[in-house]
Amino acid sequence: MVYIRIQRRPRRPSIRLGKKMLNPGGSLSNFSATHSSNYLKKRRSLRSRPESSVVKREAINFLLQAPTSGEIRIAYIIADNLYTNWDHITQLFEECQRRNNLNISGKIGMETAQASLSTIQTELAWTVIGGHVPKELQKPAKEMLANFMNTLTSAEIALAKQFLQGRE
Amino acid sequence: MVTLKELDSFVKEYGKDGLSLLILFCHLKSKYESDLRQRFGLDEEELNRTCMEVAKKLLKYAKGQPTKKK
Repeated sequence: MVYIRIQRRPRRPSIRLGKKMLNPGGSLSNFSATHSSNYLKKRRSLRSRPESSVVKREAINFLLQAPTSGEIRIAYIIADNLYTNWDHITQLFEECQRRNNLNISGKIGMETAQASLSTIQTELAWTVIGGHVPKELQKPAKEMLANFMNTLTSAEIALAKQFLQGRE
Repeated sequence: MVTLKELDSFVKEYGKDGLSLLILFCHLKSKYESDLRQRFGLDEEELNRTCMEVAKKLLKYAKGQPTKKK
């Protein structure tokens, strides 16, 4: 089977007989020069990328409509339970980190130890908060928690601080 | 990757609101990253700012009952 890709081209503006063309003083070459330059301007404007602020606004509108209310609720439930049990969870993390540093990092390297640690941290946090999450939301909630634990970076925390301090 | 110390100081400073902002941000970024990059051509910094801004707006809808820290 052969696939043919059809590219849409911007529509060429229709030619209208204006005063310039009908003006006895004007020449046909003048008209065609004016017309072609207008045509090129229009093509350039169609090709050019919209302003970054417009793109950002469109992206924000897209994102505002994308997540479901369930996802927002899950994020809130996780944050609520993590915060409520934060002291207990950090104690568990510290204990786990201490044991991991002693047992694993010497044998398999620090990078692997860090990766396994984040998975263990997710499991530890889940053992504490999992019971407080409604049963029907447990699977997506655990995925969201794992994603939070595994992907968060220092730069993102700094950005969050800026937003929370109202500097953004 | 973020360290436990960084996350701990962040949570102690900004509380539950800060934590929910980060969780929602991570979720939005991971789920819609490819869409945002393809459709709008956002780079990493723009992507982070957009997701953070939207997470902050969406948090208004997620306000529930206040909880007491144990």
